Amino acid sequence: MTKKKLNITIIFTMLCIIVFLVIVFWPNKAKVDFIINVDNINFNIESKIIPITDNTAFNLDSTYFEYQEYYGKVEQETIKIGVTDEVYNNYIGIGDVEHTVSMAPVKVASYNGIISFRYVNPVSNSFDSMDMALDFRNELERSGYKVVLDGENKKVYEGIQYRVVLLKEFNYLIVVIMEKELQYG
Amino acid sequence: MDKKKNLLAIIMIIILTILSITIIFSMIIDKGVKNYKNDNFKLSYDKNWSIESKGDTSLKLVHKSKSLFQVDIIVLDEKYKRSELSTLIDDVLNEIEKDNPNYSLINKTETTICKKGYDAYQYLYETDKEQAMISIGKSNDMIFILTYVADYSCFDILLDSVKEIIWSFQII
Repeated sequence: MTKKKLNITIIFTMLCIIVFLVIVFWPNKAKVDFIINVDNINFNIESKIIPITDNTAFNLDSTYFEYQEYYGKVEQETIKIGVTDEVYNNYIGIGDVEHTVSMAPVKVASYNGIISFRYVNPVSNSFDSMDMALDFRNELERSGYKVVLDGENKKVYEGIQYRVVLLKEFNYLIVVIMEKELQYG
Repeated sequence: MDKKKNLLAIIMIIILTILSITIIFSMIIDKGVKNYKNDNFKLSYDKNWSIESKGDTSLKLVHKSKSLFQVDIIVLDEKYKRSELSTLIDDVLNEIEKDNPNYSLINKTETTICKKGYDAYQYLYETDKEQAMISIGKSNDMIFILTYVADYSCFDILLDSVKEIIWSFQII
């Protein structure tokens, strides 16, 4: 091995070590914990397991009128816009989401630097929620965003800096916008 | 001198190889999907979720945001095994709503869920602070209840991750 090759090998190795250290110790924004009071999460369904297997659990005659109280009792969803102007303005320009989605938002929320918009499609039986956001999707593509996942219920677009996820659930369309480096799983 | 440099170069190359393997391994682990399986069901979840508790008929996953994903399996008595889910669902729902009077039902749908395409009912509840999505399905002699509860600020953001878990869920 010549002296020159030796030097190149050593320098290359040193660079690799530096790159390794940068990768290992680079701060990950997504790992900042979001604190929620866990005591508020009180959806304990364990108690229901026992009576269902009980012989009397499915006595429909005795419970019929009781569950009629609940059946079909869908209430109006509370509209919540829970983001600061700073966060809102940071994302609102992407795909001109404020003007290009033909549905009313019922929720705008932000978590860990990621923003989500929830729209209700009042005519979801007739018109697909993804189609109701066609202008938004076209605007994204015009802005240079590429489709990286094109499913019926989920579409993902990626630009240079941001990732946009569209999801259908119930009669909602949910739009999640985040910086590409962030994880939301 | 050259001999020493040769030795140094060999050591460097060995270090480089070890580092490369470490990087590749850590990347695989970092993006890896975790699997859970017991006698009754199996599912997959990403690294941001961790198991808080588990049993033969239940599993509780917690996200680092303190969001919750829970699986509960109800093994039906012999006489209900052939019953349609539609005839059982109201009793299950009634129990759920009795135990959670603070939650208001804001949406519901009849659908198919999971890779296996189980017929299921999905319900969305909310309080002032949280939302809860409940998926109730049936497979042979079991009813399964998949519950996702999160603070309203991150509910929609984590929904995609939760849908992936639900997609992977399978009764064994």
